[in-house]
Amino acid sequence: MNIELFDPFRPPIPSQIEATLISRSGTNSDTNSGTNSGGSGTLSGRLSAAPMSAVKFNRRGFYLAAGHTDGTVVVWDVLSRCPLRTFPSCVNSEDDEIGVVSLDWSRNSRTLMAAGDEDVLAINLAATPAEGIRVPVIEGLSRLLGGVDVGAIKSAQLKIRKDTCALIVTTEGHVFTVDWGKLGKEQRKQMRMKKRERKGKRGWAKRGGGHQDDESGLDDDEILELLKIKILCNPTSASYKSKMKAKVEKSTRMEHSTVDFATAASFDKSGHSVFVTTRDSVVVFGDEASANTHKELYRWRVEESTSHSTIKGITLSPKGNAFVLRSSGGKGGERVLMYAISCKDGKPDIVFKDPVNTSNMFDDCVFSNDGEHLVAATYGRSKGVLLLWTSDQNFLADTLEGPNLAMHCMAYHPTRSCIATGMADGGIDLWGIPSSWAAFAPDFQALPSNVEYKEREDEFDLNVNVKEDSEQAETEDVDVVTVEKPAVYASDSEDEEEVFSLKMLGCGAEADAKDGLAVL
Amino acid sequence: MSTADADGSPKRRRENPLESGLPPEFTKLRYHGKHTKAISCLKCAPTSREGSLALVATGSSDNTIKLWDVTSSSGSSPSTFKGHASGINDLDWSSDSRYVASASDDKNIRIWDAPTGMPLVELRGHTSFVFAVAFNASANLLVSGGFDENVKLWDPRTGNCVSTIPAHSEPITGVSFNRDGTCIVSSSFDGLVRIWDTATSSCLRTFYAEGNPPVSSVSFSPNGKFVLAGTLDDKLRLWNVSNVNGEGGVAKTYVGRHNTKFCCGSAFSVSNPDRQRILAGSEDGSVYIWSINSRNLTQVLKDAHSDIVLAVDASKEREFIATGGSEKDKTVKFWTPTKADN
Repeated sequence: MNIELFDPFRPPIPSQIEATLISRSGTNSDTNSGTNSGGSGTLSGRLSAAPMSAVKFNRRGFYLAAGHTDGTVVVWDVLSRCPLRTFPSCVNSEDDEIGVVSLDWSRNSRTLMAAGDEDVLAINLAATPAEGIRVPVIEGLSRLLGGVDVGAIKSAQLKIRKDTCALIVTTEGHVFTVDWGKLGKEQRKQMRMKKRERKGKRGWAKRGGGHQDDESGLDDDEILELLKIKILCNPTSASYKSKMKAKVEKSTRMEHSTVDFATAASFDKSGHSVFVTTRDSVVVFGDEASANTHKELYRWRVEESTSHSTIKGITLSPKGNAFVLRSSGGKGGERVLMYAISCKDGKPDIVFKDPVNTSNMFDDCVFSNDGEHLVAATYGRSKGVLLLWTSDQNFLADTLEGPNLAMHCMAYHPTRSCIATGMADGGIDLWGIPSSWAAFAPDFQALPSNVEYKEREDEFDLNVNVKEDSEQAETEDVDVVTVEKPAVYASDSEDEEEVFSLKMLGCGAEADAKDGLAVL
Repeated sequence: MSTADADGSPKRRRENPLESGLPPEFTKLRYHGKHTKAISCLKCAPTSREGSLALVATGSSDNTIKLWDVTSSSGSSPSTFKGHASGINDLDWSSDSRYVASASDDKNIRIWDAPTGMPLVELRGHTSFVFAVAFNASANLLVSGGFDENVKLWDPRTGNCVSTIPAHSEPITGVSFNRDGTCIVSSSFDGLVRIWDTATSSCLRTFYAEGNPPVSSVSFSPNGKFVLAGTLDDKLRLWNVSNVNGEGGVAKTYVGRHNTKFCCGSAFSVSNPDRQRILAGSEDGSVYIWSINSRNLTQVLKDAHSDIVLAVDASKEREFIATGGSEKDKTVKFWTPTKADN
């Protein structure tokens, strides 16, 4: 609704920290001093203080989901800068300090997917806490696939317009899609029980409130039948392959993939094809309209790659016409390479090479919401630094120095000029633009320097001859009721009235009591 | 204020609805209530319980808020929220009708649990009287404006002030969120109406009426495309948000009521698609009702109260109007569509 009122010529890139969302206990760090009036609420120590590992705005930009390395997921209210929901230990994070690796919102924001270690979790935000918010989709990936070690989940992404389908990449180079749409309510319930049982066995701390049921849960084979798993890349050895095939065959048709070891993957804008990267190539898999298989459409070797370099990440632009690769070079540094996808043959052309070929390690790289800028987070000279490039040229538009902390992850706001960066200390910095004072007065223009103003003789005379309000001018009918969908959300299937918003759990002391409920 | 009367009263051109022979659209319910001092504000709850016409909260100079559950036959005795140390200036309901926020001359805002009347949070931070308050649709943000000329955003859960906007150069008379909470509108005695981006607190639009009269009330239309502002030149104007800045951009002007001194409220009554109305209180004790598109007065609730009508509101669920009278009157009255025409 506010988008139509924005000045189209505003500075398009963030330039300063507006606020810091702090989820650790204690007082504000000095990172927030010197910023504008946007206060940051310091919260009691019930949230996680572990470093951030994933951040993601929802489609409307009202909520920010944040994942920590201890497995906690927090949903923040971007406007009031207050946490709305906290979900501790969403993924197993005992063995390593990876925690939540990926978060993704469904298009209607009702479901939040969290992935990490060997678990994928769908959090139903529309349900009340008592009804059970979390649905474990995959719990123990390798075990589920018949004991084949596929590694931990490296990234997970929801398919657009399909909230029950995710693309998963593992540390051992596997890529597959999982569709849990067939998982009924009853079965989900059973899986939840199963999870509790298993947690008990594995010696995890049981959370209170969960009453055990006599009913036994589903076993792995039954789960596998319900989950539609499609394997895109399967680098395991032949013996393992056959072992895994025997297990997976029931629910999938395996396509013999030529990709040995996938390093990253991403859906394209439509969700029909998948971009998979190996150490030195980009492979595009297409989704044939009705078939259950993904077919390799196109393979392309990155020319800039050397024998020592590895592609580490791929990010598609919001318009889907370009992608950017993070590649670790042979000299220990990393590069950002951007390619435009030409529509004709699907062959990408390089349009952008990170000219800063230093020993920067890029922690994350995102496009701005209009696709015109590319933002990369790095850590240099003991400062977290954001590098902003214009994406159509090789032009470094701005370098923003953050606090003395590494930025682990970031997200660009879907409508505003705002970047959220997840920090090593468990806080989130929101970067924004300074407010436009020109809007205070309609005819006001900012001047580069002071000038002496000569007023006209009658300039400030009060004109009391108010003209008669013209009857004719106001004959046009007005509609004060019909809600129009903002142009940017025109493709959404839901009506404006149906746009999901999280229920407020309570005010004041009541909120504290109810937050206990949110923690299932 | 030499505007309307000096250059030929616009009232003269209007049809007087009382003489037109049309039946009155709204009639008074027998049930009414009383405060011990002037009623300064009232709001109908967005939803009411089954069998009830409306749930109405009234705020008064007697430092209390009363909740009236109005049914077609009668109404129960109201529950009273006590706690403010000074008079109430404005109140608002959360969209789920659970909470009531009240702004008071004691410089504080309180959030009340409506079913129990328990005060939940007190928001402290304004340095002068708080004159206007509003929830956003999902009730995770509260906006307030006061005589300290600031607009403040609050987190109603914790009571923390999220941000302060030095919005105007005179006391603020009205604040309101748009439908999805992305914009805030504020009005002030400085004659300006300003639209703010909630997320960045930046000013998106500034507009004012001809002659720069002080603005006494402001609210977004239900769809957020228009802003209804009452000014102390007796007029109400409907501005099209998307194409105004400065003067002009007035989509409709509603004339007829008397308002030159006090902040008489106004409201949309749009629950009946065939009868979309704007209503406003007046300093002559009447309530004026206009048709939104024709700008004609459709009814004047003549001498509805024996003193200035500061408080008016219409229900969003059904056609239902509540009005409250000032110091000499102290009563709240309820109006429903006339039986004959429904």
